[in-house]
Amino acid sequence: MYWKYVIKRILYACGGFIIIMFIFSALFNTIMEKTLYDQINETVEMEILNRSSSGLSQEALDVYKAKRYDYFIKRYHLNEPVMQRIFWRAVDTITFNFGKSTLMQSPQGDREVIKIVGSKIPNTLILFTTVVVIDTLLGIALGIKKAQKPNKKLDQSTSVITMIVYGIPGWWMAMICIMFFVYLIPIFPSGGIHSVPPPTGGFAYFLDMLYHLALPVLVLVAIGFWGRAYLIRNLVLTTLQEDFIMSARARGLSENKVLYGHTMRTAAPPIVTMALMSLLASFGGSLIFEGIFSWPGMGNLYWVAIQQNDVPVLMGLLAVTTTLSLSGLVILDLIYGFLDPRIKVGGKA
Amino acid sequence: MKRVVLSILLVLLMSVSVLADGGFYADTIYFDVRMQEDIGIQDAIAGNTDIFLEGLSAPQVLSLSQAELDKLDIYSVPSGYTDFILNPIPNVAPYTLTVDGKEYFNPFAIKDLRFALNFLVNRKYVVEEILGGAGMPMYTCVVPGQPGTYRYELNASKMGFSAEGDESRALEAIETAMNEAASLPENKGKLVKKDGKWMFNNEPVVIKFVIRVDDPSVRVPLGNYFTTQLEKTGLTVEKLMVDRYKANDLVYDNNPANYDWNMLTEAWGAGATRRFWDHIVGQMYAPWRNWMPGRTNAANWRYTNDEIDKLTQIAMYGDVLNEEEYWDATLKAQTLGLEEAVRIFVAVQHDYFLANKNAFEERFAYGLGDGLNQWSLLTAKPKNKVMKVTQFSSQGSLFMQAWDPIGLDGMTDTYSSRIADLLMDMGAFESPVDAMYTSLVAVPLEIETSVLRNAEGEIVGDIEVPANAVKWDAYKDEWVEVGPGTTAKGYGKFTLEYRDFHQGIPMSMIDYLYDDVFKEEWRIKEYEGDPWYEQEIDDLYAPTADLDKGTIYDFENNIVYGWTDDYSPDPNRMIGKLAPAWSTNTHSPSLGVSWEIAEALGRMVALGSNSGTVYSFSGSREGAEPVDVLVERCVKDIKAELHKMIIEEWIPLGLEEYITVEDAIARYQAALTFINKYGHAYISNGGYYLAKYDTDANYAELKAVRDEDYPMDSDSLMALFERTILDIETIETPMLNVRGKDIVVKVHATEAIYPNNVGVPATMGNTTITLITDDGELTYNAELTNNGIFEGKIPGSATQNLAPGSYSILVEITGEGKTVGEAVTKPIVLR
Amino acid sequence: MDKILDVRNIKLHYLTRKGAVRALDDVSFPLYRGETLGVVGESGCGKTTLGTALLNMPTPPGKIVGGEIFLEGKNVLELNERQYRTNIRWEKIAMVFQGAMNCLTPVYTIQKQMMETIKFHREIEDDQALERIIKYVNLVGLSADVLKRYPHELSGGMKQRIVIAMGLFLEPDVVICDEPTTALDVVVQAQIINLLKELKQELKLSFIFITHDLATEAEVSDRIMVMYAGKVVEIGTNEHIYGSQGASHPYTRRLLAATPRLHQQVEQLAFIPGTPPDLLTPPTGCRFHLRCDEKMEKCMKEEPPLKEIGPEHKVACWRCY
Repeated sequence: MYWKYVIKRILYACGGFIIIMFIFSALFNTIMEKTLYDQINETVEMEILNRSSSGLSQEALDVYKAKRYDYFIKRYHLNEPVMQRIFWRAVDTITFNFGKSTLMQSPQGDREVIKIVGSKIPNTLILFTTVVVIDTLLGIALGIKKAQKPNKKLDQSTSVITMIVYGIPGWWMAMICIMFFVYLIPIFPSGGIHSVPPPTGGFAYFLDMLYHLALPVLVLVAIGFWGRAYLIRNLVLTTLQEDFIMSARARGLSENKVLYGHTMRTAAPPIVTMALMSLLASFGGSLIFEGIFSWPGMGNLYWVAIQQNDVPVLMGLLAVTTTLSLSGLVILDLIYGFLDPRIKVGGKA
Repeated sequence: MKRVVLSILLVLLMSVSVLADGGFYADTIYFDVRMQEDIGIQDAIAGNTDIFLEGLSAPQVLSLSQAELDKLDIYSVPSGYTDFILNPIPNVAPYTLTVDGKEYFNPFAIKDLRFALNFLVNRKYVVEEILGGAGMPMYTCVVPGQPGTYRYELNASKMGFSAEGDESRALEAIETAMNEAASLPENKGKLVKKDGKWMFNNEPVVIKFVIRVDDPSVRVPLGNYFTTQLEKTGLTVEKLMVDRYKANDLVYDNNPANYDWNMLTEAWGAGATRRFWDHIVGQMYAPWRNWMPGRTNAANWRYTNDEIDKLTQIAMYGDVLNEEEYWDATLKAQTLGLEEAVRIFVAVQHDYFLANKNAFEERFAYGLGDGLNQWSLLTAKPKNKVMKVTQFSSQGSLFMQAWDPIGLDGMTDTYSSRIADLLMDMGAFESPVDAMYTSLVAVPLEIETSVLRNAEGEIVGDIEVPANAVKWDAYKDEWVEVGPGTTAKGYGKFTLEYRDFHQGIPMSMIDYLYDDVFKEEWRIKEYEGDPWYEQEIDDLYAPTADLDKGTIYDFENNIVYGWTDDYSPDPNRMIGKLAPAWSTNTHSPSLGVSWEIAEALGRMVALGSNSGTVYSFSGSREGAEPVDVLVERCVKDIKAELHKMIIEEWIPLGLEEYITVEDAIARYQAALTFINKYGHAYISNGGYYLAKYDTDANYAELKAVRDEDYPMDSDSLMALFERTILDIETIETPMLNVRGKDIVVKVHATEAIYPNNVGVPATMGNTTITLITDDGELTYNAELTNNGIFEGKIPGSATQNLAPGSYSILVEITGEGKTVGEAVTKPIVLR
Repeated sequence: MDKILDVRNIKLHYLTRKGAVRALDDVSFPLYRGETLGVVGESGCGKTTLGTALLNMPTPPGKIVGGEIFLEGKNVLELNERQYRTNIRWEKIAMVFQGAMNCLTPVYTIQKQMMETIKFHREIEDDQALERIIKYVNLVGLSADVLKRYPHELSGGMKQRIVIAMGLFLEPDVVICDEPTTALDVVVQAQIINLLKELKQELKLSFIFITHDLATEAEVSDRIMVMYAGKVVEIGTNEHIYGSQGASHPYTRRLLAATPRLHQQVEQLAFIPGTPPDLLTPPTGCRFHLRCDEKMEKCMKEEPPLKEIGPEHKVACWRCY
């Protein structure tokens, strides 16, 4: 019964994925087309302008211009009919055959989209996934502490901080932290993954990376974990009000057992959901923060691909992030039954 | 028949001093990247980086505190300029047009009205309020202060423009023009001014003003300001705030007859430091260049002006016998363009480049037109001999284009070119301070141009090309003498100053031979399926291939003689056209690799590579990758190719008589050693070589060539750029000027020695004061008193018989030798 | 009979921001070994609070501000939290909650919860523990395969039985039953009551049976304590309260009168007018006087103490002395 549900669920997710990829393909190939044409026109005009001082006759320039225009059209595959492009782009993406990017290349010089995306994922993981993990752990720790003594000093003071941090734009806080800890009190480097030049030797190299990781991680965690703590505090608090917690205490169980056993175990489903989705979302990086810390990751890749109208890279990126999200949802769906025995997974209403 | 021969002395003055040597100041240069401009700025202030290689806008820099500014060396350059382009349809009385059955009146069809708009805009206000002081007024299509713009600016100043403009004059002129148009029989009764507003057929006369909304710092406030000004004339303005693509749709890709727009805020990048502006004059004023309303699209209503077309073509194609004719043509075209006033130029904006003051011994060179460039880095003197340069890239990676040292798309992005520019020494380059051709490797000994008009009136060359001059014949695969009976427009005699390539092999004349062969072989499709052929290279060189009239290579005396039909009446410009080149790069003179690499790449493209990857120099081959001398995969293939070349004892086509097998093999071997050591194949001849290129940590490391035979160093290079820059700060004229009475004019001038930008009161220079009237110009000298003040006098006798009204005075300051002067106009009212 | 539990002057106040809500105000009573003491009263009179007080687990913001609880002669309120938890709760005093309440952790199996409890209190091997658990599960009339289930998979009656089993399996001295049958249907109710009676007999337990259902009370209890507004108003044997002469305290009488009889024709249900008083600011004098139809001058001014008016019969009413 359960396995039938598993298969059904996975099939639904795959179906959803296919539909999403077609929609993306349709969007990118149509909406961006106008911008693409304009961009090509601009580029070609600029090239002609640059060559105009070389004394070529106008006819020669016109011929040259037509040739360059043709070249770009071919390169962006605009000479193929729209439906064909939409269809094949989608099909290719679904089969994970991302193909080659139009303009970009990975730092190693590869044109394949997979390699381009693949070269950015480690950077994103190192920073954003680490942040999510630390965030969640700290959030749970603080959330529990707050729930144990609700509305007392710790709870109220941290709630105030949460509200303030929530109201402040994250990027602004990041910039302030940089101003403070990089320039005013020079502790941290101003950005990038490594120093220039990086130290030789495996261990020193690793330490150098940690050194560059420190400030972004600290800032991002400081921005994010308050909110998480607040959520967890509420979840835990609600659970603590439940009768079975009192009953467990009445049975003489130790506070630790009550808290970490009964309470957390009951509050687990929403917390695990939150943690897993955050974890998977972290693969997408964050455009703004990557820019602030000069940390080239997935978010930045997305931005550049949009600016350059590089549809293969966009499709590849979206395929990766969509796959991760959908997988996360499927996994959650399937394990939810284990997390919360009250939910019958795949059962009928 | 006119001959122009450049004296040897003058030429040698422009060449590199052979005495200095040892390479450039900085031992190591690091390039890294930041993805946030603010952080780059702060890094420069804090000293985390030495130079932030990005042009920053005024608000970003002027908002820094004084303490922060004190830590920086600021290099200010013009970054771009804005103008208004007007829709002049139908450009003829009665100035009406019909669209979809409805009749409209276009005030901009009246030439005098368009011209009056020049006085309606207060450029001083624009510079001070909108640009925050970071800019200069601009009246015509050349960027003020750039080399070679002097005569154009002078020309424009005779039209009486001034920074503040003249609102009352403008309003009066516009009113007059409108009234005249209203009194035309076709417009009688239809065009009336009611309650201060101009109405046509009982509807307001509307000016559709297209304003670029995606430029909130400049074009939006400019558009708003000028709307207010326009409405003072009684016209109604409809603002169309759109982004660049919509603007394109409305204005450039649209038929002006649709009357969708009357006016657009345009903006252009300032571009490189250049000395010749004729093609800009053409672009901004001449319809045939495809940038005027309606373009050259036959389906559109087009703005036409045959006279401007003719004059600009004469100037651009060198259809002149001498410099005088050239300047005549181009200045006349500019005058007409100004009078036509289809474009009204407003102001130039300044960009700022930042360097950490403390890190350097002194200021370094910079391009007056383009800011910090390779000359800056070569003349820079970092105190600890190590220089860190940060670039700004929103993508976060150093190189965005493939390092294809030959093809059209290789290294065209700024990040690549900034680094690669340091790796090669080219023949001659345009000086960053005055754009004069300065030699580096190719030293001119003689330059000659001689042309005459033939029976058809065309300009043809008058110099006889010796019969034993050679050209490479791609079909015969051999050097072929040109034979008797060929003439050329220009001739040059050069000697070459060699240095070593990075792999240790010294330069020689053979490098130049290789380039000649390479270009021809790859340009000509000898037969169908010729693998040594690329369409793009053909397209690029085909139009100019016949300009090369032959070369003589004198190995014994180390002299190259060249003949060309590529003509400019300016002798300095001819140096650029004649200087021999050894690099096989198709688009930039400052990129190029040693010939064994080019040969290896050529073989890979034509015959296939070791790894099976299909390569190409451009995108023309289906499924081909561009070659990339930095990328591992391609470098491996290059190495394999070099090995093959050693085993085959390969000598490239055309060099058989000039190079022995042993020499060739030694060369390939040296290249392999270099590649093995540094992991890439960009082997060139510059003062720096690429030591490391790290994609994980995102940086590049360049090391200086330290070889006592290297013929340059930072000081000798800097010496080539020294200039005194004279600047007119203010012009003092009396408040009240009565005709018949003497008018005393005081000019406050400063001088600064490039590359320093802090001026001191001038101690030299010739200053003249010219009163411009309708009948002519009256010029008087001004004497240098103290504190940089020149004093001059316009005698009463000059103004006695003039009508009262406003006039302009033009103040010019010039200097001898290597001095850059200035010309400024100021309005003056005579009672 | 010896007293297993002697509660003296227990005061439990809920310290809210508005002030102290005097939920239990000077409550005293004895519990004899082997008896069932029934506690009745309206909602809000302090019955359940009493249960939490005995376990020394007042629901926050409650606090025991006075009094003593003597268990086998020792005042257990002097123990600290840890000692209370390990030695008293569940060992000596256990509580059987309302099964319909959410008193079983939904994410653990029955077996896990019971195992957890027993292992916490006893040094005992897993298989021995399991034996005992199964024994008690069977004792309450369920089969062992209920252990593998989750609480939401059991019916109300089954849950109640489990809760009972859990309350008893450590064999505590005092078992407090808080409305154990209230949410169950009549048939199951009867079963549970019978079960409790059996178990009491077999295991020699002492019960405190809290309910508002007088009929059940009558069935089960030996003695009955009536509470009103945080105070004990009457405490006596079954006979005293339900007996032919009727209860003494006006409140008790009205309570009894309010219970509909099966065979009586009733035109209108008798009820007690008014609402229970606000315990933040309780009325002066007798707390019931506002709703009492027999009140005197004295009732409004002075609080009547709990005085013995007969053997094992105490009342707090000026009229009754």
